[in-house]
Amino acid sequence: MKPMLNDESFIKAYDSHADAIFRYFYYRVSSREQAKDLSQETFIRTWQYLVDGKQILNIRAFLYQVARNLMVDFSRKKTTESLEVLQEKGFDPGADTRKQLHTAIDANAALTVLNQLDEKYREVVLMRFVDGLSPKEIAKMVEENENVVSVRIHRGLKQMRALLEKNT
Amino acid sequence: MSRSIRKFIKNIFRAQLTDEEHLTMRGALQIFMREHPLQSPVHDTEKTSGFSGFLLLVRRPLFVMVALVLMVLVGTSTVTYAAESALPGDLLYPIKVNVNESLRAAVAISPKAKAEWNITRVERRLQEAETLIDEGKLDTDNSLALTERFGDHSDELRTAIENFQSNDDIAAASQIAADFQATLNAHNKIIARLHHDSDDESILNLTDSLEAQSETGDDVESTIVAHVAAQSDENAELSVSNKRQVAKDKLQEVQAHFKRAQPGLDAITSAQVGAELEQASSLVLQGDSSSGTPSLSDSFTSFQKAHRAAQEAQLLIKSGTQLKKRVRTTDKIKRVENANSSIRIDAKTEQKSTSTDQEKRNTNEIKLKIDTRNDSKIDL
Repeated sequence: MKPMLNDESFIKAYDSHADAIFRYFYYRVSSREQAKDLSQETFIRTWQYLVDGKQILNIRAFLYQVARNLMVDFSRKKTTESLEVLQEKGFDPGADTRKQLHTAIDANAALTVLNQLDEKYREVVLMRFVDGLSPKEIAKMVEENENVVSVRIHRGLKQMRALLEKNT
Repeated sequence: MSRSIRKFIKNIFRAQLTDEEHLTMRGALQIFMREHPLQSPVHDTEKTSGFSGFLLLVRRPLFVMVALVLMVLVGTSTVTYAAESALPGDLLYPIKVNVNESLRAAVAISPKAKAEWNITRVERRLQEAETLIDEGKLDTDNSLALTERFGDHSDELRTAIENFQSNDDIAAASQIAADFQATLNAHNKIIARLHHDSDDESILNLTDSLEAQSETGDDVESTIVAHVAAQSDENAELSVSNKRQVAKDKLQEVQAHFKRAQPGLDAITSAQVGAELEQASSLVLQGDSSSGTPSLSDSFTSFQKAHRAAQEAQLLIKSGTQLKKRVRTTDKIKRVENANSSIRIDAKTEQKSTSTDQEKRNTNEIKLKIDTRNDSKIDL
C-alpha cells in the first residue's frame, strides 16, 4: 500500500529534507537568512500543491524541483557569482567545522576550483555532492538524459582533479 | 583519486540548519498547514515498474504494427530468436530490449534473480557496444542510446542493492555490488583493447559512462561497508565470515577456470586475468591477516575487493575466448511495400568463427517471408 501524504508524513518529510534543501540554497545565494527563507518557501509551496489536490510522485524530487524553480525566480545570477560572494564574505563551511583552520583553507581551494569549472559541470557537481542528488534526480531537474548527467559529473570531477593538481 | 575528490567536496560543503532554526521553521510550517488543511488524504504514488518497457513499446504504433505482424504470422519464437543478435539501429533491436528482456525480467522471481538479470542486461549493452566498435559502427547516436539504457539498468541495480541493505541482506547486497563493479571494470578493459582512439566522441561517451557508473558503484560499496560496521558484533562477524567464504569460493572457481581456458587465451588477456587473480589472492590474505588485527569492516572490504577481482578475472576469461570470434549479424530489409499489400522481410544471420589454425565458417540463414497479400502464405 502506498503511503499517504498527510500532516504527519509531510512534517516527517520536512525533518528529513530540511537540511538538504537549506544546503541547496546556501551554496547558491549569498546569505544564510535568504537560504532559510527560500527553504521555508519551498516547503510551503509544496504543501500548497497538495492542498490544491495535486499528487506528488516523489516528495524528495518534488522539493528539489520547487527549490530549483525558486532559485531561478530569485536570482538570475550564476553560481560563480554566489560562490565568489561567499568567498568574499568569509566562507562558513558548516557548524561542525567552523573552528578547523585546515577546513577553511580546503574550502577556499574547493571554491576556487569550482569557480573555474565549466558552468555545465559545476552545476551538476554541486547538485551531486553538495545537494546529494542522484544522477537520475539531477537529470529530471536539468531536463537532460541521465547518462549525460553522469558523464558531466565524471568530467567535472576530472577537471577539478586537474585544476587542484595544477594549483598545488 | 576520484573517490578522494568526491569525499573532499562532501566533507567541505556540509552547512546545515541549527536545531533552533530547524524548529522555528517547522513551527512556521505547521501553522501554515493548519491554516491551509488538506481536503482529503493524498497518495504519494510512485510509478510501478514491471512491464513499463512493454507499455512503451505498444505506444509506438508503427513499430507495434511491424512487431505484431511478425509475431502473429511468423511465430513469436522465431522473431524473438532473431532479435537476440540485434544491435542498436536494427529493426528487431526494440524487440530484444523491450520484449525479450522484459519477459526474462518477469521470469526472475526473487529480488536477487532480478538483480542478477539486470547485471546481465548491463553486460548485453556493453557487448553490443563492443560489437559495434569491432564493426566500426559505433557512433555518437548509438553510443548515447546504449549508455542511456545501460544507465537505466545501473539505476535499477543500485535500487536493488539499497533494498537488500534495508532488509539487512548484506550477502546479496555485496554480491550484486561486486558483480556489477566487476562487469564495469572488465568491459572498460575490453573496450580499451578494441579501440585506441581516445578522442573519439562515441568512445568517450562510453568510457566516461562506465567510469561514472564505477565511481557511483564505489559509493554504493562504501555504504555496504558502513552498514556492516554499524551492525552488532555478532552480525558483523557473520557478514564478514560469509563474505570471506564467497570470496574464497569465487577465487578457487576462477583459478580452476583459468587453468582450463588459458591455452585458448591471447597473451594480453592471460596477463590481465593473472593480475586480477593475484590481486584477489593477496586481498584474501589481507582480509585474513591477524597482524595489526584489522577491523571487521576492513576485513569485509578486503574480501569484497577480492570477490570483485575474481569476478572480473572470470569475465575477462569469458570475453577473451569471444574476442577471437567475430559475430556478424546483418539484417537486410529488402522491401517494405504498401502496408495493405505485402511486407517482406529477409533476415539473414551469418555467423563466422575463426580459430588460430584454420578458418571455419558456419552460416545460418533464417529467411522470413511474409506475404500478407492473398492467402498469407508463409515460407520458412
